Amino acid sequence: MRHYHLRCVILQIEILAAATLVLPFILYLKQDFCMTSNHNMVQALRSNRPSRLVILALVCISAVLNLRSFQHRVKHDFVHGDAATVERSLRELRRALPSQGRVGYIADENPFAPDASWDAIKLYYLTQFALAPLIVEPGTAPSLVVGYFVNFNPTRVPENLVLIQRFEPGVMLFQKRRE
Amino acid sequence: MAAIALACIILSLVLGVWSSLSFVWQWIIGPITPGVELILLAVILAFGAKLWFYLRRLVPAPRFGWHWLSVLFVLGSVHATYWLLRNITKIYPQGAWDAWAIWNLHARFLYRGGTGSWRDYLSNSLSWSHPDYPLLLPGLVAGFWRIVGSEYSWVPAALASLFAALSIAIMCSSVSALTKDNRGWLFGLVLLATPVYLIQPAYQMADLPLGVYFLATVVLLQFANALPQIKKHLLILAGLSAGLAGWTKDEGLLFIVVLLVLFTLTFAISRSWRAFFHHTYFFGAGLGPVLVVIISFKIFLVRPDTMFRGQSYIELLTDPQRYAQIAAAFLDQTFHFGLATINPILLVAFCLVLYGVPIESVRITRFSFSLLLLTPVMLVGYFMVYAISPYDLSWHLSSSLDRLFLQLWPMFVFSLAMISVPWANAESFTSPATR
Repeated sequence: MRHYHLRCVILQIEILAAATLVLPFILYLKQDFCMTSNHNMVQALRSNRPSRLVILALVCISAVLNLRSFQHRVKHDFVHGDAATVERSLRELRRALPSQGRVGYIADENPFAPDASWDAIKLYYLTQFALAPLIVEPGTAPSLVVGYFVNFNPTRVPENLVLIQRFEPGVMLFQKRRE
Repeated sequence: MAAIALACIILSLVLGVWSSLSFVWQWIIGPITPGVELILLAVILAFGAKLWFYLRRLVPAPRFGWHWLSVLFVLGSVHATYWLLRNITKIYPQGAWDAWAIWNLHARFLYRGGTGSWRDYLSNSLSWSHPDYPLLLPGLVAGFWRIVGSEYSWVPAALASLFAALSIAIMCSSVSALTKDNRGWLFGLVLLATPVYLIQPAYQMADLPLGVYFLATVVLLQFANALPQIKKHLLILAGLSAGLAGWTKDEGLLFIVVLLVLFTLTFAISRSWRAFFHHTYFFGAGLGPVLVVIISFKIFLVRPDTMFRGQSYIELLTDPQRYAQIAAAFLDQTFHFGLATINPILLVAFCLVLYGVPIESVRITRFSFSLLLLTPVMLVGYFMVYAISPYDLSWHLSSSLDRLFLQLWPMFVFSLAMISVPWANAESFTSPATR
C-alpha cells in the first residue's frame, strides 16, 4: 500500500512538472503568433541565468536521485541468479559426456508438459546451457540420458534406463538398457 | 568532439564487422583458430584506425575544454558504472534469462562446436532458444573467448559494459560536436540516469548493442548532413551501422525498412530524386554486404519452422482487445520507463527547456525531420509486431516491452537533443579546409 501511495505521489509530481514544462511552450507559441519573436518566454528563460541554473540543478539532482534509488533497489531487492550454481553442479557430468551429439533429459517435472512450472523449464534451459554443444532433449529417446532431480524419486526413472554414474546430488547419468 | 564521436562509432563498427566476418569464416571455410581470429581483428582494427585518421583530418577540431559539469559527469559515471557492474555481475555472473537461454548459449555453440557441431543449435529441438536470431553478439563473445583461450564469464559482461560506455560516449561527443558547446554532457547524463540502461550490461542481452547501432546510424546520418566534405564516407558507415543493427536483432531489420521508407518519403516530398539516389547509393554500399550475410543466414541456415509458427495473422489483427491491451502497456511503459524515480523522459524535457528550442532560428531540414520521426515510426512497428504476436500477449509485453523502449532510448534522446540545435550553427559545421 505504501509503495502504491509513493507511486501516486511520483505520478502527481511528474504531471505537475510536465505541465510546468509545457506551459512556457504554449505561451511561447501563442506569442509567436501575436507578438514579435523578441518577447518569447523561451528566450527569456535562456537569457535568465538563475532560471537556467535552477533547471540545470534540477536535471543533476534528478539524475543523482535516480541512481541512488536504483542503488538501493540493487542492494535490497535483487536476488542471486542460479545459472552459476547449475553450471557448477553439471561440470563433472559434462566431462563424462561426448563432445557432441544428443542426450536425453529427465527431471522431477517434464519441462515441456503444458502445466510445467517455470522452475522446471528454467532447470532444463540451464542444463542445455551448461552442456552445449550437446543437444539436450527432454525424454529418453537418445542412448545416454541426463537426470537432474531436486527431489529424487527412483520410481520416476523409466525402467529401460540403467544408472551409470552419480555426480552432484540430484545429477545422474543413465544409459538405455539394450533390448 | 566529432573526432571522438567518430572514434567510438568506428570502434563499434569494427566489433560488428569482425563478428560478422568470423561467423562467415566459420560457416564457409571451417573452424576458426585463435590466431586467425586475432589477425582478422587486427586487420579490421587497423583499417578502422586508418579510416578514422583520414576522417579526423576533414572534421573541425575545436579546442576541448573541461567544464565543471563534464568533470562531474565523468567522475559520477565512472563511480556509478563501477559500482553497478561489480554488484550486479556478482548477482548475475551468467547474465539474465535471455542471456543464457539465447545469446550466450549461441555463443557457446559457436565456440565449443567449432568443428561443425555448432550448427546443431539450429535444429528444431532448440526452437525455444530462437535459433533464427542473428549472431552479432554471440559471434563477438565466441571470438573473444577464442582469443583469450577460455570461456571466461567476464567476457560477455565486459562486452556489454563496453557497448554501454560507447553509447554514452557517442551521445556526449556527437551532441557536443553538433551544438559546439557542453550540452552533450547533459544529454549523456540523461542516459546515465536511466537505471534500466545501467542494468543491461549485467543482463548481457543484445538490446544495448542494438541501441548503440541505432544511435550510431542516426548520428552518422546527422553528421553526413552537417559535414558535406565527408558525406559519402559517413553515408557508407551509416549503411554499415544499420546493417549491423539487423545482424544484432530482428528489430534491426525493421529499423532498416523504416529508415529506407522515411528516406524515400523525405526525398519524394521534396522531389529531389538526384539527392535520393546519391544517399541511397552510398547508404546501400554500406548496408549491402551485411544484408547479404543476414539473408544468407536466414535462407540457408535457419529452418523455416523455427521462424514461422503457422499463426493466423488475420484473426490476431482483427481482435480489438489486443490493440487496447498493447496501447495500455505502451502508455504504462512510457510513464514508468527506466525503473527510475524521476522519469528520464522528464529529464530530456528539462534539458530542452534549459537550452530552449530556438524555433525562430530552426530550419529543421526534411532530412533531420525524418530522423526525428524514426523513433515514433519504430514504436508503431513494434506495436504491430505485438498485434500479430503468436505468444501469450500479457507475457510477451511484460517480458520485452521495457527492452524495446530501451533500444530506442539513446536514438530518441539524440534526436531530441538535435531539436535544441540552432541549425544555422550546424550547417556551418564544416572543416577549415572547406570553409
